[in-house]
Amino acid sequence: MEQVQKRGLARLMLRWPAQRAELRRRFAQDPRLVELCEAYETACEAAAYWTKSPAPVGPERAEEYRALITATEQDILIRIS
Amino acid sequence: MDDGISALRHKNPPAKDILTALEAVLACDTLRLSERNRRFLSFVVAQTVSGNGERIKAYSIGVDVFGRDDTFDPTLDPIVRIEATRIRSALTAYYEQKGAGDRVRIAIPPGSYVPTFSWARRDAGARIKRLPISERQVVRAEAATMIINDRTSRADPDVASRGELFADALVGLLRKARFKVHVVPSAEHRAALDAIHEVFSHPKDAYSLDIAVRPMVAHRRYSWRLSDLRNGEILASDSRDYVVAPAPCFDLIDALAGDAADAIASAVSDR
Repeated sequence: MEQVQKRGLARLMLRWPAQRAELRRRFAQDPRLVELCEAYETACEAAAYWTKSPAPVGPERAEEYRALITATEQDILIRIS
Repeated sequence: MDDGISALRHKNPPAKDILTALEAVLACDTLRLSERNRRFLSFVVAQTVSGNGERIKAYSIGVDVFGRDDTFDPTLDPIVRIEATRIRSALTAYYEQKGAGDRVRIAIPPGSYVPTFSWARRDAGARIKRLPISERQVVRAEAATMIINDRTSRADPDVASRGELFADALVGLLRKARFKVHVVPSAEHRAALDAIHEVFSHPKDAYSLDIAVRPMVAHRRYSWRLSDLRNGEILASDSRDYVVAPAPCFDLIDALAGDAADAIASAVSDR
């Protein structure tokens, strides 16, 4: 699980280079931010899975997870602001 | 994972108060929860209150709240886990800010979808309920002098006023615990300063309490540190970060001062 959290943090640091220092600092202090990083990474991986899925529901699920990625990004930005 | 029965043990709030607390959370206009996540929170609270906590699983939430069909597989479709994390974060933010005065707290512990309920540390009037400082602590404190030094920077009037509130709350509580309390004054109050210098010169049973409120990005850090004036040994310390609110959070400051006073009385009584 810890690796998922770190992958989420890394992905966010790539997404927002200007926020890298703040993300790293808060990640070390704020358990809620660590959980949100994990949720973010999980949402990204699920979006990738459903985008490639041949299941009829795949496109709908992929769209749902992309929306969830955006919503979680907002949660994280507010958490570190 | 906790089940509904254990989450509702007799020391926990009654169902009526839990449902009132849920209503307060859901009525908050700044709560960052989608309509779907409000249903999620309502669902798990209602199931737990009605004694069905053991039925709360990712599968049941996926089907009953997120409208998934019976092929729902939470490992491939982790919507419930992600949204539970977002709810947990929203609840934390709510209780740090608008819900700071709520009597009953709802939480969803990590690794679980079953909510837990607890009484806040203050009653409805936001007065702090504390166990009385023990007789032993009071007797010990009667002989001790406490010098409070507010190290909060005066450059920011808002931060300075919060430091003063913190100091005021500590003065009241420590005097109640029978400490002889001095606050390091501004330079113009020479008489008080001289009295403190006298204590510093002959620090028999005297302690220094350094406090500060420091501005951070979106928080204020409230910290205190108790040390023995005779040898400089740090006896206790603590700090807390509170989200910046437009006005100082009197309840939070009073609660922190109360905890600090308890810890200080305990540390001194153990000497």
